[in-house]
Amino acid sequence: MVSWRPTASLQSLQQRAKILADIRQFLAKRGILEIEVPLLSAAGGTDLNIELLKIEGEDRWLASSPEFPLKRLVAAGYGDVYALQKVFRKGESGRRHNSEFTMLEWYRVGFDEFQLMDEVEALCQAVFNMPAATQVSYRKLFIDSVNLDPFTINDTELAAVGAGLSGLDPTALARDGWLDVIFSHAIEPELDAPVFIFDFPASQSALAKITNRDYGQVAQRFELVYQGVELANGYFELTDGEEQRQRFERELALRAHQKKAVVAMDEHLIAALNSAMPSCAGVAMGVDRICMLAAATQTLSEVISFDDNNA
Amino acid sequence: MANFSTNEFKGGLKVMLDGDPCSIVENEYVKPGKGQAFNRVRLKNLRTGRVWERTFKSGESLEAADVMDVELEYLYNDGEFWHFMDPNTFDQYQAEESAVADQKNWLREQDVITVTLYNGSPLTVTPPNHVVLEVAHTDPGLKGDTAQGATKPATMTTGATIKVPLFVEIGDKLKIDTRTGEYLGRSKD
Repeated sequence: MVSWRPTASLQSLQQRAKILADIRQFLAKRGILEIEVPLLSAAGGTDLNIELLKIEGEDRWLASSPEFPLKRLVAAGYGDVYALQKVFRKGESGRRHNSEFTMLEWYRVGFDEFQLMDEVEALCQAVFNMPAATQVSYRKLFIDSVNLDPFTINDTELAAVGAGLSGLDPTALARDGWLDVIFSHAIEPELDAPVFIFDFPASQSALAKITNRDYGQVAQRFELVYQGVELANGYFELTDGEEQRQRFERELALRAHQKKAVVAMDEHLIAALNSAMPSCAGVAMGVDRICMLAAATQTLSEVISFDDNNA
Repeated sequence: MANFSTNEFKGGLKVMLDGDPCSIVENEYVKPGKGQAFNRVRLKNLRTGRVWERTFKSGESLEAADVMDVELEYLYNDGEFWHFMDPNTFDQYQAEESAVADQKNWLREQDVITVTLYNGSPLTVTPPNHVVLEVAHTDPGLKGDTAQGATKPATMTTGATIKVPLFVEIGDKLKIDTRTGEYLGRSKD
């Protein structure tokens, strides 16, 4: 049967419109400039776990995040900037995922990840009355929740814990995959009160700077989880173009090895980082998930006009 | 048989897992923003009835199970097999004890039953939620005993034993809930 009706109620779309307006007001008050950046570009992210959608017949990819153009604006000296727009990820569809979704991403020149966490918390409190959040390192969270140290546990023991939680074969995943199993199966669903998780393993740095702690190398990256839902992912941004190039090359080689789609490396971004990139922190937030928590619904479908199934 | 990828998983889909046909109960896509995507799936093992929780890497696939539900008329039990017939084609099927299992006491001859076929043979049977069965044996009701809620056991012609009110007599036809084995009332059918 054709279901032409919206998946969200009028009331929830009215609430969503207010949330979008409140986000813009919060960022404008802090002097952060709204910018529309391209959704179609010739290059794209090389992230191993994000699949991009390609426009058929065109040499263009749909953006999975406004990150690269926003950073080029920061490098150009345009100051604090944000984008609030749709992004696209192939195959991500479910109760808390939709292959196109609304992302809010902003950059703060001169901030580190801890200053940005405070601003993310203030935004959430202003926009949907989120309670005060705590902050915990990735390592301490694992030790407190599942009694294992993600930085010292050996691969065999880690795989055994992950296999026990998931039923997957102990050879099915590499180290970061098992950490993801434990995080998504045993830790994240239990995180009810808002919590910022910081100091991720360096292997999960994405576009964050890497630094040393007494127990090993960490990525200066954070995530906000509230009611078991990941709401934000932020970085103290890597500003070294050559290190960025090496990470892209490593990911592209792994993509080729795993027979995944290979996207052109973004030379514009690397050139921008090498030019005059100031020290800055940036964060991406899932706006549909914010609407979901604000409306106390269980699925994204209830807060987006038409979901993947009837778009 | 065809294969189904995790992105095709949905409630009711029949797939093979560990050599047994299963029905997907629930499928949840789970993905840390920068991490590996998984499908956390609850599946009902159609052979044992047990519900399994399993995680798959997104993009993995499972073989489809050759399972289908058909409406068949229950004919009789020959002591070893339970015999069913398709009322349209007159095709006959014989079910082993493991397939009828706990449901055998609710099967009344000539009733239409949902039978799940796996590779063309009965795997499980699902009687209607409510059936009407005749009392084959019960102790005589005690005259004048009208105490609320008092019950006694009664055995149906199919072999089922249920708790019934004291006024129920041999030959009465009773409406019974097959999911709970509860007496619902006397029937005029």
